[in-house]
Amino acid sequence: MNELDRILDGLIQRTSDGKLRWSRAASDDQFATSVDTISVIIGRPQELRRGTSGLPQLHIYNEHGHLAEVMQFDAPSPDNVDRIDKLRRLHAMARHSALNVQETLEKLAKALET
Amino acid sequence: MDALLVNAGSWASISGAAISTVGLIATIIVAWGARSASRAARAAAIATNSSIERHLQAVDIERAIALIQRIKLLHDIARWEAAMEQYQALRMMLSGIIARTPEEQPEVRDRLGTARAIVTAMENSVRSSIRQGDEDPDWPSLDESLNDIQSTLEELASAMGFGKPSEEPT
Repeated sequence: MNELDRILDGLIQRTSDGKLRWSRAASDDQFATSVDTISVIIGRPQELRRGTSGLPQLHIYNEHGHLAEVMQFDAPSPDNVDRIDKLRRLHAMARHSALNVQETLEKLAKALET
Repeated sequence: MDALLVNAGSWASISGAAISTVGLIATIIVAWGARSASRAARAAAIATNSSIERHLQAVDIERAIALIQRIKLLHDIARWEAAMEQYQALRMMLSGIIARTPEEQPEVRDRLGTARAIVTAMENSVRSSIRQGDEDPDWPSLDESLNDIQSTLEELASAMGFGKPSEEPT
């Protein structure tokens, strides 16, 4: 397992545990977080939304705010299907965290009961 | 006579030793006092330095919030090229604020790091819109992101005991 896979797994795990909060970034489809001032943005940038892939990208910025690494795929293939699956999962989890989806749904369900 | 001289010698030795002991104690007391004074001076210097850092931090936060207001105005009048220049300035200001935030506050540093990443995402989004000849970037969405960053900065200022930096004292 290489470093990027470990990073993806770590982000998924921490987000799942509620230890990592994501924020909405520039659009409703991009989300950002930071660990030790190293920032991560996951989402579908505007230019790609028109494209055919529509796969989320992961951008990693170093502690000075400069782009350090990008994880992106043009199309799914047997070699990258696991990573794409993780990216999609992380994107969905980041969205839930940033938009407080769970709390909103619980609140709505509770309000409808009364 | 000899016994008298021996006794006198002993007394001289004893009194010499006593004087040395008193001198030693006095030296220790003076040195201890100097050490305490040195510690107090160092503590005062650290406190002054910390106070200056906090003041500079508050000034940076205030400037960053003023810049956010300016960027929102540029969005309103669709001056996107000018807005992009200001994004860069805002990112640099946030980097300065992060650098001044003590490492003992990792949560604050991470929130500021996230804010800086959001500004980068905004800049990329606007640049992409301009390149592709869009009518206008999604400015309500961009302003929403700016408001989130402003809230983060205001919370930080408040936590530092400076209140809302944009508010004038009454």
